[in-house]
Amino acid sequence: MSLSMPIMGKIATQVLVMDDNVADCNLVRMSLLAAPRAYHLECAGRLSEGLEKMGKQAPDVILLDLNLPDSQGTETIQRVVSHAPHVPILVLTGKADDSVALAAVRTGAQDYIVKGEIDSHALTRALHYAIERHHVLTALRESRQKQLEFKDKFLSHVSHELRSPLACIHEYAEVMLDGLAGPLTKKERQYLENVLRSARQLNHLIDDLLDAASASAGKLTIEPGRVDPSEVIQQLLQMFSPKAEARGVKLFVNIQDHISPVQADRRRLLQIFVNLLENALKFTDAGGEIGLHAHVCPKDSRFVQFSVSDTGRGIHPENLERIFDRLYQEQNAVSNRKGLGLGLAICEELVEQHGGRIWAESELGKGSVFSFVLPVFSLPAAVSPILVRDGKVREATLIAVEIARGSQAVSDEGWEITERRCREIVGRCILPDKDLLLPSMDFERRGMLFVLACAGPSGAAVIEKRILGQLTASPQIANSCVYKTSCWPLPAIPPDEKHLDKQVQWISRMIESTILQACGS
Amino acid sequence: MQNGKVLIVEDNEDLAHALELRLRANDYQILLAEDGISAVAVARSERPFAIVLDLHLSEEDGFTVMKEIHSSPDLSSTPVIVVSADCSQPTQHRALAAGAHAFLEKPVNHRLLLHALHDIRMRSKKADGSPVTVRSNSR
Repeated sequence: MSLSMPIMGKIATQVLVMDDNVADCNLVRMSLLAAPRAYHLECAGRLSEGLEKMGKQAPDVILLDLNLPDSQGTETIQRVVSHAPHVPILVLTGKADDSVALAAVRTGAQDYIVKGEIDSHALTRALHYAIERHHVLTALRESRQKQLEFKDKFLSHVSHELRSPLACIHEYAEVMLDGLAGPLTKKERQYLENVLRSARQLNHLIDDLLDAASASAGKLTIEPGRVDPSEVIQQLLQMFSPKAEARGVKLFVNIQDHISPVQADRRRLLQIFVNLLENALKFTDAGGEIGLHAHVCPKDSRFVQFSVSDTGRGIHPENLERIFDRLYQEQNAVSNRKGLGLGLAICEELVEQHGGRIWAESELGKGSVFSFVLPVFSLPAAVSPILVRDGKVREATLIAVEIARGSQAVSDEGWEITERRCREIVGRCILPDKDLLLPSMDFERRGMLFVLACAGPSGAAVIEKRILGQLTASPQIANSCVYKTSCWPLPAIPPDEKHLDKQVQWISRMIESTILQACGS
Repeated sequence: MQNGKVLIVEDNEDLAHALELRLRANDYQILLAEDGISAVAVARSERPFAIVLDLHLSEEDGFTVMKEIHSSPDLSSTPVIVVSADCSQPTQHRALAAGAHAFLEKPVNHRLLLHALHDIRMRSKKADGSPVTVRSNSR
């Protein structure tokens, strides 16, 4: 962008004056006529009139009186800025009132000029400075944005480039450990295992780097479903018990009885916990305790609150606000492994993507508690947007899709990808406002997914046929899986259930029990 | 080498060699190609029963190679196992949508790779004369 183009060009500078005082307008006109350059002047006595004129042709600069018949004070600036963020504004004020003028500049004006002091020279100078400054600021903002984008691209590129040689190190260490290059001595084996461990660690760091890059680009993806908190915590306990024991730290679990399921992406929930637990281990000395807690959020029962507590050294109050910032590093980590300082920033992004919040409390020397809340899973909330029309619950049918491995040799990881692919295909077979691919539920049998179709048996049969057709058309599914579908009409709402909310809750319970029935059959 | 021929398409020589060591130790015969063009040529002349394809090649990218394989009638039934360091969901989805048989993250977990190859062999044995094979031949 050429910064000086509007000024140096031969085309007249377009000036819009918004002032309800005709005398002021004329004064500006006279001053500009006397100027050596060409100006085209438009006048508007009301804000609405000014905005309308701007809509027809955007001026190069606006001379704005803050007190118009239809808008007063800095609000006038806000309204002009929101209407045309790319046009510089010069405020006209009646008297030299610095506080008003400064407030104007903070709200988005470039400068101010006092009406009584207008002369040709001062006015044209102020106008041109305002235009120039605005161009410089815009260019700065754009270049900052480009820099951010470049940084994220760069991060993602670097991570990928780092992975290749790392994959090689990993591969050869494994080849040797598996004896493919001949037998190993005990020492050789031990050293190769060290190589492998460091390679794995490096790989995790690169994972973090990539996640952080996608987080700042808003590309971290989550696929929420129904997740049972106690089941996740049991899995974490198994994962971390050996590590905690090795460090001489006690790991305990504290889960409220009958805790509600949460709406979460299971893998991401694990990722959040793993990050918090690894931090807790890092800062807790032998003899300390680490707790995993889950209970209904005391402030809002629509959320479940998870916490990881430790008896570590704690965080200085000054730093508590900064720990979720990217690249923040707590000094004095117990182990020499410090990490990249991205873990908590990634956790924060993931929790926010789930519609939750994460925070930390700490007391120096006593320990820290990291807590986050996730929304309670609610089937009624998920189904009501498509089930309820005109204040009534529509007729609905549940379509079950079941896929099974064609051969036992398919690995679990490979199978997970096939399942996801199947979900994607089914998702394309339905109409977004009539049918709903239900989120995955923790009580479902693996390989089953369910579509809630707002249709009777014949309508559901059409969708069923479409799903079968699409699955058959996918070579990956058709060649590697056995699949089938079945229809489960949902019962009609009992007439004594009068409240719409209650009706949706009732039908949701029916959906859950039908799912269980379909999974058992 | 009685388990059959596998084509590895990988432009990192060292990595290709490591994979070769691994698969040879499991009785597979290995063919190597460094870029997409030679990959298609080797696949045509040698007829591997599976192709292991790195998405990140220096000349053409893996997606282009996969498209070529799937669009040539004599190769379209050869399963392609994609390996990539970029295991983000969009990339996995894109690879599977492009017809990949499986997606493996780099560094490749060799147990998964062997599983996938074994799986392909078992299925092609079972499918002899079955409708699936007839259909893919008639295409």
